[in-house]
Amino acid sequence: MTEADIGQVAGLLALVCAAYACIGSVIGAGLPKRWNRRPALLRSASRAVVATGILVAVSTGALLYALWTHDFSLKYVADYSNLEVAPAFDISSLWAGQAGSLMFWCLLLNAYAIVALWQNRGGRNSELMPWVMAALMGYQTFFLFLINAVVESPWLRYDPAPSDGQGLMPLLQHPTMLIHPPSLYLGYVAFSVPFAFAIAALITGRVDDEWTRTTRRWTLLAWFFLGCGLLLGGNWAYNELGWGGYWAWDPVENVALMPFLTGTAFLHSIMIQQQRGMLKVWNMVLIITTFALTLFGTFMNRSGVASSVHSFEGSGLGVPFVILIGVTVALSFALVYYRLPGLAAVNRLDSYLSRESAFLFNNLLLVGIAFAVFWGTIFPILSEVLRGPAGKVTVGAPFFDKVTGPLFLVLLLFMAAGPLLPWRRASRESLRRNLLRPLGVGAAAGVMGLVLTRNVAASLSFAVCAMVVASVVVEFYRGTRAKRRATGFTWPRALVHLVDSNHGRYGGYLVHLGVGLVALGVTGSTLLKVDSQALVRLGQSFSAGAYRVQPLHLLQEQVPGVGPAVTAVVRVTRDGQQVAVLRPRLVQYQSQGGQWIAQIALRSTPLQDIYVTLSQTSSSQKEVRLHVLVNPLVWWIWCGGIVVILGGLIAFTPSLPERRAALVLAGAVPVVAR
Amino acid sequence: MTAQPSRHWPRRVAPPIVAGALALLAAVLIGAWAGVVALPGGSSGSLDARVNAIGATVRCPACPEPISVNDSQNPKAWDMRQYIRDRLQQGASAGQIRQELVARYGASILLAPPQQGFDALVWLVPLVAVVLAGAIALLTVRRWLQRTGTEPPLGVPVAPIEGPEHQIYQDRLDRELAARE
Amino acid sequence: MARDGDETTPDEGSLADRGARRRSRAWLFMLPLGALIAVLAIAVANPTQDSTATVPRQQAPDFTLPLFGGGTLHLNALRGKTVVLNFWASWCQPCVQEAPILERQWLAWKNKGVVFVGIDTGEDPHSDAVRQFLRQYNVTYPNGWDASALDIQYGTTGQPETFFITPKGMIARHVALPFTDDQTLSRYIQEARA
Repeated sequence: MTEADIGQVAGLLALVCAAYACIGSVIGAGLPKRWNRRPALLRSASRAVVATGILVAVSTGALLYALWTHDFSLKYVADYSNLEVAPAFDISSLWAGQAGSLMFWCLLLNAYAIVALWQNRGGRNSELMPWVMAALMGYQTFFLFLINAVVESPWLRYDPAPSDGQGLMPLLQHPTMLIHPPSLYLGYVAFSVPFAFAIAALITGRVDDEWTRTTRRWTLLAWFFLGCGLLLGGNWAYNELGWGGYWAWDPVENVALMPFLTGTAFLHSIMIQQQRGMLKVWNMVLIITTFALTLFGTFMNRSGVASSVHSFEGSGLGVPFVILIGVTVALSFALVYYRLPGLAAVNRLDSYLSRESAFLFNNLLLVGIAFAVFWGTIFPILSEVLRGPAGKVTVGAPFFDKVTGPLFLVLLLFMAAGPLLPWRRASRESLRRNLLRPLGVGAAAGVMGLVLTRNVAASLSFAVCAMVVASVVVEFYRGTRAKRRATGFTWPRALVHLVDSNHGRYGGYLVHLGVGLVALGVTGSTLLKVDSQALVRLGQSFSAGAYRVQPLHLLQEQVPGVGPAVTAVVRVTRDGQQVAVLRPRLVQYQSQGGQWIAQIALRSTPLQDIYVTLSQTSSSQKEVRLHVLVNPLVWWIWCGGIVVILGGLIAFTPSLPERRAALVLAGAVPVVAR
Repeated sequence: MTAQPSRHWPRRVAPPIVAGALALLAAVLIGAWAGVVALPGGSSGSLDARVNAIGATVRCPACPEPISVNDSQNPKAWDMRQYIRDRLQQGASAGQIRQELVARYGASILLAPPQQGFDALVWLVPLVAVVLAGAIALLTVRRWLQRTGTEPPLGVPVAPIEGPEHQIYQDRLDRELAARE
Repeated sequence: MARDGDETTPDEGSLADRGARRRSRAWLFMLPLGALIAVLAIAVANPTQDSTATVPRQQAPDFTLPLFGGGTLHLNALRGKTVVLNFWASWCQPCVQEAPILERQWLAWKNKGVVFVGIDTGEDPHSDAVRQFLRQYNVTYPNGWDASALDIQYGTTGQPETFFITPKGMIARHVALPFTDDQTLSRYIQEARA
């Protein structure tokens, strides 16, 4: 009995268990409360959830074991790994193929379901939980069905077994690729939980805020991992793919961005629902849309409908997924329609100039940007369906930059103003007090930008980014100063206590700061970049902006474990002064059929990146083709990205009052009267 | 005595501030749009700059993802830049060059569809959607503001209990409900 | 505090009225969504077919081709003959596989008013690999290299790609796939001659 047999049987049993968990939960939830078998049935369904999780783990573990031990008798292992590749990348082969990545999805979905069960143990949310489990296990059943019955089975055998496999593409053998796909999956799948709670709330009619409170951390988790995945993907593309950018508006990139945007909108608008009892219908629609977009995302990746370097080979998954998305959207909106009267708002808006209003417009912009991205992504498919293959068009960076750029700019403006506006209503004096300093900083930055770059759009963007940074700094400053006055702590200690007193708010501010920095970097590298490529003789130089680039000579090298390489030694000068000597190279990967892959050379400073790619060498070895990019401010994207991650982590972790409350509940400390 | 709700309702912030904010918004939008919207490939600038400008709107024909011939290091992308350069030196305009490429490769060779015919929809729909949504939001906000002040229905708390205290109450409630079942 | 007087506030309407209005508005929202899903369904049900004649009949762009072994070739000088124009590269596996087929058919058709022309593209033409390729497959028809982005002028996206040009100078067929048998190539030649 090999691990493949165990894995296959476990996978099949998992499907049966998941189906039972789903049906059991539905029946148990639908039965009248007085039926005395109901608690037993619900408990049995919960146990089935755990059992499914164990079985999926066993099945995934079997595949991982096969990959780790290089069992090439399995076609999946032979296709996606080989003996030469480092052991860590054997693990990442799990999500390299269609079936393995689906198994990974199922593993995460079940893990989340079990955590949700544990979170709500002891009767918490007892009305909602059966329906939550029914929804989650329903989707689990679908995905397990795909693995067992639709896609090429990961347990297919080669007979006789080959001695070595094909292995991962060399570009994927990079540490970032160990984290980027799992991070995206962790994010995508995590949106299932708030969605399941929303559906449960609609079905049971308990549409007050309880479901939003319970799922706040889940939404944050999903948002966080999706954001990490996007940042890592951009970083990898910039450093490894060698085309000089970090975001190509590839359909597969877009479908990860969209739920991130609507998820961000959701994070803000549930605050309005919790504070003021408004926007209940909107929040329902938003979480349904976000979840549908995650399904759409995995559909685009797998069905081969969109042309992209990311897509898995199309394997008949398109039709089941379209049916799933269609049914999800139809049933969810039918539920919202049914509960529409119960979702009426409790309070009213007090003023245009209030935090609610700013959040409302922020939501509008985020969803608007997501819609523009969605429209641009499906338009080629649409035009092909309506006009035939001859009518197919491409929608790429020029469209997306032009349409989303201005919208992002306005969004940043609201991001700067939002935290400074109080709930309900801002008086003119408080407004003036709060907004004056950031506005001043923004204006100064804008003028400086205009003087330095003479680019109107870039200067506007600088102004707005500076406003965002200034408004966050002002908030931290005022809060720390107040804390210091109240407690007498030193500035650093007061700051730490301030942040600790409300992780959600200050983590959020930090995320705003990070996004402002990222926006700064994106502005610089998109609007102000200099692109120069030329085929030149060695010793000849050409210009790239203010720099002169001169390839000096070529070196023949051997990269251990990979193959031969040709390195160009390139000197970059400015005004006669040497700025850097860079060594881009072309490496031949013997294991991949002798493909030559370019590895870039990069000199990165906070002000700008000098990015050189060796594209081609002539056979005489006397001429080289170099692609040189001067990318201003890219450093701030990665810096801002780290700030966003830090902010997300802070927002996720419990604040001091919440930690104290948990200790009180556990009986560890007595309740202290405030 | 009939209720005079408008007196109890908080005074709305004066229109000048709203107008000012909207004007600022408009300025930002227009400025950003102006910076990005012009179709590149004008007759000014060096040959290299013009090749780059046109290249940024043309897609690499041999690459699966929608990447421009400037960014791609595929040999076909280099050849296409060579073609653009040769044609510019022969005096063709950017529009002509784009047209020739479309005649050979089909409309999908351009990175963004032209702004005419069916393809104009790709530009119009987001614009219309955002404007429409903005209008609906503004109208909704105005309608919410105009709604006369009402007392919240009995039993609904005016300020929600939040934070850790809420969790304590909620847990106790759940435990008591579970005990009843 | 009880409010006497109106049961409904002026521009609110009763809760039921508002509910009804919201529900009717909901339909507006559902229709485009349904249409979209229908389009997606059609898209997955009809995956794109690769066509071998993607552009309509057009005049074949004239060129002057520098030949391996010296001299040049003008396309317009070949008017009156059927031309089989093949773009290739020495590193491209399918080109290697179709090279014998092309050479065989050239020998079969060369005296019947058909000219084969090869254009090496996407590599350094003076490299050893190219010389090796020509020698190994004993290519005897005119062959040169692409010095003026001919591959773009003809609208190719890769290698090998073959164009069949009629005696009047029009492109009869554009094949973006390698040839796997002699019969197909033969058939296309006959089609272009007619």
